[in-house]
Amino acid sequence: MRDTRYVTRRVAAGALALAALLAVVGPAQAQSRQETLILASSIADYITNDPSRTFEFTSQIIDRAAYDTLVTVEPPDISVVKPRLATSWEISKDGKTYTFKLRPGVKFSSGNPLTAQDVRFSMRRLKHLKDQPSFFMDPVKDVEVVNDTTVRIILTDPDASFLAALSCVPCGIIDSKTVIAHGGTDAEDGKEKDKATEWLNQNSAGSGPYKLVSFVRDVEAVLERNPSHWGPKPYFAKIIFKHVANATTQKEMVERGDADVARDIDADTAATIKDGPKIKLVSGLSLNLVYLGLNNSAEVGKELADKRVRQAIAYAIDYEGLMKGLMRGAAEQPPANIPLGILGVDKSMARKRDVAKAKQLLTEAGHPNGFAVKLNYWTRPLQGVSNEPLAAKVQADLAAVGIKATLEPKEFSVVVPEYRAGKVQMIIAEWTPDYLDPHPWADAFYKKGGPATKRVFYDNPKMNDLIANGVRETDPKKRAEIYREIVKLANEDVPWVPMIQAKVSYALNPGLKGFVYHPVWFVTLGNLSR
Amino acid sequence: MLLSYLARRLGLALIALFGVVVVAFLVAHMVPADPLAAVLSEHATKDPAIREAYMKRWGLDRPVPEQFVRYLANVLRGDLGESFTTRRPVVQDLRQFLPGTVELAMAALVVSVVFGVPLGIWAAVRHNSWVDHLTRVLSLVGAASPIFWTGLIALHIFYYRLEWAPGPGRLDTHLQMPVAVTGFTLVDSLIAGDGERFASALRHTILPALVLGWFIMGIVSRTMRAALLEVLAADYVRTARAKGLGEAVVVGGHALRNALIPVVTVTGLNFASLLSGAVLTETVFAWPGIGRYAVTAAVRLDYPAILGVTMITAIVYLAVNFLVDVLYGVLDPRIRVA
Repeated sequence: MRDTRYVTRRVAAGALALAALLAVVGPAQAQSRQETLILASSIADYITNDPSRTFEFTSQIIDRAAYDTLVTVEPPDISVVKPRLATSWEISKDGKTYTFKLRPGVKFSSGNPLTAQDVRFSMRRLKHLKDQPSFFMDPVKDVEVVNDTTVRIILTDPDASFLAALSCVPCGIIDSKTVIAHGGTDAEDGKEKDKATEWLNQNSAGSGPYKLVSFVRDVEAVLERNPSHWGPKPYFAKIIFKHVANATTQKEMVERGDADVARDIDADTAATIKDGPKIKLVSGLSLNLVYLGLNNSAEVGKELADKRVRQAIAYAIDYEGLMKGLMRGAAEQPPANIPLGILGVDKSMARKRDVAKAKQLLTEAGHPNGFAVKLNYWTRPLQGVSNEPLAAKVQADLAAVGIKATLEPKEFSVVVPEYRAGKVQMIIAEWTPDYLDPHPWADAFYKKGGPATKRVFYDNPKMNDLIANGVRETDPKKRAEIYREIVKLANEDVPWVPMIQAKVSYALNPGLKGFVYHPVWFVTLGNLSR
Repeated sequence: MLLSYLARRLGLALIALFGVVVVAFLVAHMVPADPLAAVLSEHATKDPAIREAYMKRWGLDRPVPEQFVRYLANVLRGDLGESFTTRRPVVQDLRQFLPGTVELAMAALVVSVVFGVPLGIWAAVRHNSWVDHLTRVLSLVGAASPIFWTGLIALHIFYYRLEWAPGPGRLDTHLQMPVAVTGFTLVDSLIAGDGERFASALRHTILPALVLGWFIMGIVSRTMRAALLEVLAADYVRTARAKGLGEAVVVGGHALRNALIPVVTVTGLNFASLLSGAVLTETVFAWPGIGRYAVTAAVRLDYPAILGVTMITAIVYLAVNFLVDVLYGVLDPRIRVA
């Protein structure tokens, strides 16, 4: 027996030694990170940091800090376009020629001066790469260099949304000399010939307050202060994005002081955060839409081809239940597939649930006992909304007026091609903003042949005229009136049932100053300080 | 004799690898989905020219049999194609992410052996005592609880509540990854002579390795226990005892060596399950490894990446199997003839 104890003791001693080893590798030495901003965030959406190719969230936040645009749009009033690299601009009477005066003395992080030539190069490169964000240059016919500090952009047709589009990251001005040195080109065959993207994924060539110094996919992104920046010196010397997927962990990192910002806080995690000396929960209304798509064609939509049926569906949805129950108050109901906060869109125009009215409309349309419909949705999460309970809720709301919806959950990569081909009867889908003007939404959802419109075969000549007028009109007041008309007509025709415009939540170190949520690029990093 | 044995094992491994590639390719291409839907934005799909350019870039416009032959030919040249999502050669991606996973799996393996073997011995020597029951419960809980959950709870308790362990990630948040020489962060930080980074990397390894290691520690300790019990009942052990040898010598010197053979096999075979367990551990601990890369690839239907990961996992699996076979052959000469 003594000997068994000997073995036992040896085993126990081994375990103790191991525990001791773990303890010896002590806690990290506290290092002053006063001037380092750390964001705990999922950066898995990364494809490229090349501003002329990217259209993903993380890269837009990064590129926003590294590249300046001619103009900018900053909250709270996101319908006003402000100067950035351009100090002033003139728009010709016919609305086709934009002449920009550039800020003098601006230098890129390389030290090269920023001139009108760089503006021309950036716009042409964006257009000719024929990549994801190239559509920003669709309205542009030509870019002319007048002199070093004056550039003229000529459009094919008048486009009142063009100025707002120029505030977006893909329209950032890149250092043509540096980019050419790394294989870049703005020539028409840029799609085949341009080789600068690989370099731009790891570095930046802009004039913004920061420069990208390293990027390791799914691990981290590191930005450093750009000493050549023309504007006020930003507070933080270094900004690090650390890839952390889980919201709870992100929150815990902020509380432990390992991060200053937790970017992806979902509703469940938000509910566990109590403001205190270590953490603060903040939220902002996004421009992300979650909506119901109704196929208007007789062939695919069947019963949905009748406007009255579509109206009945819109009346059947329990919007208040969605906002309060499913979203726990962290959402607004958008009045159309153009979100709140955008020119011409007004909260009061949103529809209220009316079950009696829905039943009456169904009876008028010849379906007093309802009908069967297939409700498609994809299984990966929507923008800030859990799709399974949402689909179940929609199903229940429809059942209350007699419509029997069968749930059709599918993989994203399966259902999206079906949807894009116009083959689904009814679908829950999402949309994120392109730029801060009503036109991109009107164009996508309501204009005949628009990228989303064509999926549900919606076509109303009156609507098409309104949208054409809206994009041509340069007077903001008259424009707002036109978009109000568009929202009204949209509510009459109901090709879509707008359901949820989610608030985005994030957690901050309470000592962080200057944080204002931006619905397109999350936050303007250069404005932050302690 | 040994040489022909090795050659036969190697040949079988290659055939198995080819089978894996064929099956993975067919399954990935049979899924009725559009891989580009997950990669391209709404606007990019508006323009058919952009879509066509992408189809052409990845050869998706060709018939599937042709795609397969091209793929095989490229693989033989060491080219695994270009990932849809990273837009980089898959080989380059694997080179970046595989070392992280191997580092984690090795650490977990160490944990499982260092804890599992002594626990197994302890349980066998004192079988049917409270020690035996305790190790059984520990093993069962470890093997049965989902790693995802264990990981989150471990982080919550040891990082957030007790503040003993460092947070998720490979290094402390204010540190950046060392220059990649081998890709192994521990090794690279040593090469760079960076003590702070090495210590940080080591501390960040402990918790995920314990979580992942616990998962197979149970299997190791149960195997150890069963094997040792069997051996302890053998005639030659009784003889040893009859000779008046001390219990430590009997267990440590005579029984353990023979009892270790099945443990080697089980541990080796479970190395592959460590790789798959790493998928979830990596997600929870924000660990830059092949597991997370595989998840992204699968969700986005990134054929080249999926195939690359499948192949590398198969190679690791086959290599470990091969090693185990060889080790087995060395330990037990009877195997070689069979």
